[in-house]
Amino acid sequence: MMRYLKLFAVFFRTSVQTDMEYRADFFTRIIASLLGLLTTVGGLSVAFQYTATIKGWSFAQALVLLAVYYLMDGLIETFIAPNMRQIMEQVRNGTLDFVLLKPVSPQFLATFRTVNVWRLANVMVGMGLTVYTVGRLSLGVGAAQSVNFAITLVAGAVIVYSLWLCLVTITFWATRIDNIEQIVWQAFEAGRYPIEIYPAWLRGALSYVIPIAFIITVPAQALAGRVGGGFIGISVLVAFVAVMGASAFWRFGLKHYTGASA
Amino acid sequence: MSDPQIRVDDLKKSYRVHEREAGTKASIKSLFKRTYKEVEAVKGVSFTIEPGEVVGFLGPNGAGKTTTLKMLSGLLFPTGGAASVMGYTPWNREQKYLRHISLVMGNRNQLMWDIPAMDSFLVNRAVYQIPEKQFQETLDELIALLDLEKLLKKPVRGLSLGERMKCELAAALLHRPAVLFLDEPTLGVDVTMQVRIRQFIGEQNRKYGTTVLLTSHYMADVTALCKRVIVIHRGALLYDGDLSALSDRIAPFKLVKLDFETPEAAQKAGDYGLVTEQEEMKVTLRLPREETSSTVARLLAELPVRDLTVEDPSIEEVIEQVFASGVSA
Repeated sequence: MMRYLKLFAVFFRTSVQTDMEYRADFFTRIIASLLGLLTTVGGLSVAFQYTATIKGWSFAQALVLLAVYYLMDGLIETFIAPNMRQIMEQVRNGTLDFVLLKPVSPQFLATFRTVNVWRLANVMVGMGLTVYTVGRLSLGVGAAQSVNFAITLVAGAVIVYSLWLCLVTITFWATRIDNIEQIVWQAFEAGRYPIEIYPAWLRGALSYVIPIAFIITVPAQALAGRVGGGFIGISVLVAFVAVMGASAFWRFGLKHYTGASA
Repeated sequence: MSDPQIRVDDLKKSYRVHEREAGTKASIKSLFKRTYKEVEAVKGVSFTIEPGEVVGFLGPNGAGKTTTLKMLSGLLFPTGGAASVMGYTPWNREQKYLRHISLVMGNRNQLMWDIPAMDSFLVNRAVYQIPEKQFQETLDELIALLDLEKLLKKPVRGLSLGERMKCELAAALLHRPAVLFLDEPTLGVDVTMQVRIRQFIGEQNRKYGTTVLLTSHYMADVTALCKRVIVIHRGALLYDGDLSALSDRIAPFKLVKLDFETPEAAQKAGDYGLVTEQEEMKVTLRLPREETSSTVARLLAELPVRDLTVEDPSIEEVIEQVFASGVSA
């Protein structure tokens, strides 16, 4: 465990060095992030001019959801997406071999190798927005809610990681699939709105078939104090099952890769 | 030292390759119904290599060299047979095994493109858990031997192909592997750099007893480094033994270089053997080894010859000859 933390520190350092080469990226990221934020907030405020609540979510609570969406988006773009894109690239040009040659867990080396440092800008915007919207709620978020929020947020990120890892593993069979990323983002976007706005059957599917509800809605609800401890436990359990399943599928995929690739 | 370091026993690998004809119609058809062809890349190869040997692994493109190297470095799972390297089964990819080997591929790089090679080295130090002191010593030595001083601080994308290959080699040797697999390490590299890389590999072998299994298209790499060669062709072993005996074994012929007095005589040379080269009155004939002396005697008696030399064919020619005719040993 310590070994892998140390390795991650080294990976982080080299990522910072790589990204220093593209400094302008940081500012364009911040601007893009704020622009996206403005348009979404605009859309939401238009909707809430006609009604005080949508399926039990007030405007202020919907803003919390949006904030969590931005935060999660930042986390994905910083830590998960660059690695997943890199794996697909490596499968295509054969450099995944160098990952397999190293005396270290291939899954760890492949999925934690890069950090898109400038995307931390999105994380910062997301955090700022979260703090601001929670303040507006005037609910007073206590320590318990903060802890619950942190737990469900991490669980949500783990679920995204698992979903993406499964999709990337498919490239071991079909070397070129460009739309994989679209699937992840479409699923993620679906979680941008309160899960309650979907019809019951779809809500069930989104919660347990592809556990999208746990990615954004549940952390936002935890922050707003709308879910109890039971739900936090389920969230952690879903994340655990997802990552175990994804990891097993990845190992199965690797076995195929070493059995069939030329 | 009695146990071979590498033991390969009837190793086999076949692939299922997706096949389709050219054209739009065929490609649409293949979307729904795929036809596959079984390709046997390696068909039962056996050999052993002792610690500290440098062995040349030869064969034309598609002979199965890279496939064999990949199986030995654990990247591919064989379809049949067995292999053991330092007592490990390579494709189990145990971390303990991977710590002792390295694979360098001339056409692929492990160094990170956008940052200096030194940063990739630091990543390898962490991945291989190389102790600080050993890392520094090895690094200093590699810098001196490969003349890396100025290269390590530049982003890798700014290096020439040869410079990049030197850095790749260094990255692969930082953890002092006991067994080194080299797949076309001098591919596309200019001649002076080839010589440098060759010397370096030789030095590593002498100094640390590193076992080297090398494939190369450049015979100079092989003749400079390897006493022993293993030749495979179409996935099967063709020859395993001394480089010097290779020509006797699989290409028993001599080259006779003639310089005639008249163009007419040069024309008639073809009656005595296979003409491989002709430039006005200078002719090169290929003659079976056992007939060489009698044919030379007849040539000298019957035609006006100004000068005559008998030579052994070069290794390049031997190999070319073998692969062109597909002789089986």
